[in-house]
Amino acid sequence: MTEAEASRRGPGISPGRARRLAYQRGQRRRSLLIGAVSTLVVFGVVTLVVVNSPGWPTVKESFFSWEDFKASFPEILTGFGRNIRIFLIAEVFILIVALIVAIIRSTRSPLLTPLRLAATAYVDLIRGIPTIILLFLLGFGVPALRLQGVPNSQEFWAITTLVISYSAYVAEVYRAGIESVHESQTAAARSLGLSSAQSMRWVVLPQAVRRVIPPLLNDFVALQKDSALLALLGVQEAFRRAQIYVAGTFNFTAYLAAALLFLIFTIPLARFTDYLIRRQRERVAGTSL
Amino acid sequence: MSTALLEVRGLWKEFGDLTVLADVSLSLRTHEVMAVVGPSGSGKSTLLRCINLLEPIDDGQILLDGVDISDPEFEADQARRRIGIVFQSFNLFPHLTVLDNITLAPRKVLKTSEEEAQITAQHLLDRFDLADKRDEYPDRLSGGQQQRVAIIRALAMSPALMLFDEPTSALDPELVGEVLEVIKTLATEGMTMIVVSHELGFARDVADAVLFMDEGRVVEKGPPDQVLVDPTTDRARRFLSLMAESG
Ligand SMILES: Nc1ncnc2c1ncn2[C@@H]1O[C@H](COP(=O)(O)OP(=O)(O)OP(=O)(O)O)[C@@H](O)[C@H]1O
Ligand SMILES: [Mg+2]
Repeated sequence: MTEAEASRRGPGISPGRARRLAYQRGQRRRSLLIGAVSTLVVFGVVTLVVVNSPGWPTVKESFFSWEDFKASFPEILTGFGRNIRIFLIAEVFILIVALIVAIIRSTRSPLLTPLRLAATAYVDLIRGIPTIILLFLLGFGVPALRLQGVPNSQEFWAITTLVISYSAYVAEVYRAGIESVHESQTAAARSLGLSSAQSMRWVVLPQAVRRVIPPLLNDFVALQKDSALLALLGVQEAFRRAQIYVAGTFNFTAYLAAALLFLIFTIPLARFTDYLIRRQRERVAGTSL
Repeated sequence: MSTALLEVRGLWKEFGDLTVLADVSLSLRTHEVMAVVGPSGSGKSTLLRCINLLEPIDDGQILLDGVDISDPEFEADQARRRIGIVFQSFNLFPHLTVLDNITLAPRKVLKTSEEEAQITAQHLLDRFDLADKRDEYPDRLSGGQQQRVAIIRALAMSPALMLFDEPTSALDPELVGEVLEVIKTLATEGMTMIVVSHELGFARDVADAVLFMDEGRVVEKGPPDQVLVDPTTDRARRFLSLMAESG
């Protein structure tokens, strides 16, 4: 920002401005250096402690074996494709179901009171039950009923569990966004003749969704990780593939390979979320409102 | 019957135990401008919000063209689209450009085609000197410009009646003039309006009638030269001298 600004002003950089620029540049360089050195020191110490611990040679063998990494990786990678597919399918349904629940919970119309009560009960109930229990109930319970016309595939029920579970949390994120839009916006929309549904659709929701994109992305990250829970139902995703490999070789490197794949996916998402949050904060700071 | 465009009869409004409007009546003919003045908390904003059906009323009637729009059976959205309101805090939609702010309601409520809605909007923007702002977002405009866009947004619905709730009191002093100018233009063109305002000079200029409210009641009602210059009640006299002192 500073250099571009200075050059826009033309050739005549005043001595005062030049001194300020030089000072700021020095400050920036210094904080970068401090950051780099402290990171190196911390990692160096941790590495030294770990590598010199008595159990290190065994751990190294069973967790960091390059051979096993290479051997297990292709299988795990195919499994990970499944994680991504599950994640994408679940995410689409979650975004829709959660939005409907949030809208129902946000309306004040007395006509919708029964629905609103149901939505509130759903959110309270689901948020109180550990996802893993829900997964077992639906994933083993429902197929065991052998109902006519109900899918038996465990992947189907696994995805359904994720949708049911995550929708409750995401609905609350949406709802916080909806409530954060000041009621004067609704008043303005209604005063122009828009119905309450139209006000919600064209005025409140666009503002609400924009505000909750960062927390929604955080939930995406969590969902992507929780897709590994599906291993418990026997779905052949990355973690399940790793388990199988470990069971055959008694070498744990395969878990590391699976973890690495999850990281490659979630870290960029987390960075992107931070970027959005920062940009939003700057935008808010930049407006007078 | 009278030829009143708007007639409010015996209006009562309560918030819990607090009576905010007590037996308020007024009547307004087409092309008439009414100014509403009164101390803070006297119920002026609430009166406008009731007329625009943004607040349910507890008793009384609000007749628009002889039809009781406050009747619970009446479709409120039908009435709201015929009554425009401009708020103290503008309340533009921050996620929409100026143009989209103006065309949203015509398109969604009146089902006007996008093209037609844009032509109408462009005319209004040209008329009020805002043509170069049509693609800007509201947060890029000055307060005065925002309020003028809010007025245009209401006008785009071709309302029969316009309500203004202290349209200039959130503005820096140097921006007040441009907004008052717009309202004055509307008055000369024959728009029927109710304007809540602390700008007494402006009220005297444009209003055909002035309503003085205090504690939810209409204390005085009459031509501006009478209510604003020579009020009959003590309450109004005190309020006016206070206003004169403060500027
Ligand atoms: N939604 C509400 N709930 C409860 N009380 C309210 C509500 N809206 C307004 N009031 C109360 O009603 C009274 C009248 O408020 P109103 O805003 O109509 O006054 P006003 O004349 O517009 O005042 P001002 O000049 O400050 O804008 C006040 O005592 C206010 O506190
Ligand atoms: Mg007010």
